[in-house]
Amino acid sequence: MEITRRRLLVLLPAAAVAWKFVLAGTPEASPNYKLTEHWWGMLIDIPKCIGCGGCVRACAEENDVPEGYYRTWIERYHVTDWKIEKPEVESPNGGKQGFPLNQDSGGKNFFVPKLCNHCAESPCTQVCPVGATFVTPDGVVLVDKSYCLGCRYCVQACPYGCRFINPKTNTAEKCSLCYHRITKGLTTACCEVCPTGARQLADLKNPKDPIHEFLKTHTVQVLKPHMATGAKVFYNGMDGSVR
Amino acid sequence: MQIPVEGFMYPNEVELQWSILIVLYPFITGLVAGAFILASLERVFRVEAVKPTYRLALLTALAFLLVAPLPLQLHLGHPERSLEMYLTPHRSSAMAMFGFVYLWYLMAVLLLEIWLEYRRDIVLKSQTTTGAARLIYRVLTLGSSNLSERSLRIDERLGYFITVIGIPSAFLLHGYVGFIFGSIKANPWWSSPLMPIVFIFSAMVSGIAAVMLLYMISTRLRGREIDIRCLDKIAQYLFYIFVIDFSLEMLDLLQRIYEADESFRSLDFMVHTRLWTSQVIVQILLGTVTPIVLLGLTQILKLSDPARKRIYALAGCLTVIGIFAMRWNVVIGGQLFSKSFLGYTTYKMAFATREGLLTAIVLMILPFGILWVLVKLLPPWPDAGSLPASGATLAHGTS
Amino acid sequence: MAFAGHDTCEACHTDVVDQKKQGKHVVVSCEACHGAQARHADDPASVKPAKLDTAVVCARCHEANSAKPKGFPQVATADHSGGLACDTCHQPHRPRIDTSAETKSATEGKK
Repeated sequence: MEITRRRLLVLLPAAAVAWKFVLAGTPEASPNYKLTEHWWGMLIDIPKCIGCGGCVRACAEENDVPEGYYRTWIERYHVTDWKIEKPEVESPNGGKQGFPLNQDSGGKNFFVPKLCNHCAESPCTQVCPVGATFVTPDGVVLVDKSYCLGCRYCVQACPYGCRFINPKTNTAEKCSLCYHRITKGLTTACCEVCPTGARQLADLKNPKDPIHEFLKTHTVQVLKPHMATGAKVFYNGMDGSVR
Repeated sequence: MQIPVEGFMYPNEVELQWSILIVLYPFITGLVAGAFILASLERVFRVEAVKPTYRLALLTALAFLLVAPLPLQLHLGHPERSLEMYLTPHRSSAMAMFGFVYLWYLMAVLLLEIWLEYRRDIVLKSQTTTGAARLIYRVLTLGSSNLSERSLRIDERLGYFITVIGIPSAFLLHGYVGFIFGSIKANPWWSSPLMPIVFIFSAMVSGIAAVMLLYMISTRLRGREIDIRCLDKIAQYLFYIFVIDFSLEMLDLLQRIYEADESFRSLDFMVHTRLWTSQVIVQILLGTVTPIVLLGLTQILKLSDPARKRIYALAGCLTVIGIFAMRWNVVIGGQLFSKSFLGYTTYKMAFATREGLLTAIVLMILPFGILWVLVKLLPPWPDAGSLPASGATLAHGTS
Repeated sequence: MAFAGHDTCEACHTDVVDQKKQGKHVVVSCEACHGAQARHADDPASVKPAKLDTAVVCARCHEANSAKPKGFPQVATADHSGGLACDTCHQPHRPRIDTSAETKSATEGKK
């Protein structure tokens, strides 16, 4: 075939697009996992959390989270008397090495683990200029780090402060609900190591899921409900002082 | 770099996301929008007095608009992927859609208007100059060489039409930046329907003040007489628009104080401590109240020409500084407090890094360099020596 | 993947599973204390889990803290064992000590 200028003008862009596909490779197969059969969430049972920091450490190890940034973290609350609008909160290194003993043990003291809420109507995916962050059909909010520009708009838009920019990749990052694990029938790293069952993965589309049952019969809340984000991390026994 | 934190912040919130470069960006696009509105006063609203600044305002807008994307590119984690915003935009994202507004404004409004305004001069210069200059002007003619009465009248009509479209486009350009901040429900310092309006009016104020200052400085440098009637008119518009801008900002403030919702206590503390100098002293007192009072005085009292010129210069400088402070207070202020409303962080600005102070200074000087080139290429002066009286400029007054 | 998941551990270590079933630690997954063991699970012969220092591992959960739930077993380790390692008296897979005689014999002569 003769290489004319016209043919080249058509071939080259087509080849460039095809090359991009070759470079992207094939995603890892999970043949038994049907996206539409799941709708993921999580239950955090506050009265059970002992603030051991195991979840923060496990997440960091499982997902290569850089030091100083947190895909999940634990906050310790101290509420004096009835003053629920003025709690004292701390999170030393995200709770990664646990918490030091606090001297003042009057009032209410408890731990609150936090993570991405995998919002059904997430404000962070709404603002991404290129759609690098998105909600999967099974309800997990993910970031495609090969597409992210690092503009930080999503970090600003998240009401919960769960996003950060990974200094090694210069892209946005956050809890992925261990998507690489849950699509293979495993649970998330944080739920795996939690010794008291304070963190448990929930499949809200599975009627047989015990957590799904729990949510129907207990008093649970989400964080910042007035933001109407459709958050899917549910907190049992959460005090009104939790921010 | 250890960042000092007061109270409690979510662990990922401690480090600021948007730096001084993101402060620069709305400041620069604000100058563009404001300069264009000043130009449109003459072209569309027939305010004869400000004609001497018409071309200068257009070139100023262009110089700043060309620099505007640079702070954004330098800020991105992956600037090499930024073209994806145009190729695969996410339609629900204000930032993505803004890219098209910028492109529209640059290509369809500003460049086209400048070309139409200068076409006669460009064609004449392409015929009278020699060497490299001749080549540049020939390229700029875009192949056109028709200077008949009819073609000049078409230039005039088209230019008018584009300016008419350009006014809402300029509002859209900068109002959109306001919307980018104002639509973030997660941040109570930003989230407000007033945000696009406040941005537009403060943009007009900064743009008009900037062109006024540039006109005064450039006329002085050229050793010419400043048209005092022109300055008076510009200052008058500046005054009125400033009063509206100030009222809007005070309305926002008063309502916040009165309603005192959950975020208020935290924001109030932030303004009283971390933002005291930049917001209360620089933005409000020095940058808004003082210029308004000064300009108000020139409207009420009968002052001599030299006195008025000095007041205009002072008011203009304070205005531009004040509007920069406003951008700082919005962008940086919005990141200094925790979304838990329980703590505050600090902005540690580096100096010689990609997003540091030095970069910001260079980016602010760059538009003046570009403007200098544009002014040499396309002289905006109404008393430009070598060219015969421009039929197009005459046509402005008659049609 | 760094963590294998307790199902994988339990497939081989059935003796530990039986031991855990007798005590409160039945709900604690293996890797909560032993750390990520996916590499060991992939190649058990060549990759061995490190020996744990009970003074560190146990304290993370059981060191007394006012913010921990009141019903949760917690002690001030300095007072509780006087510096002895936790596994001197407690078997981590079945932590309850049945008789005071067991405790006495384990701590005899040590202080």
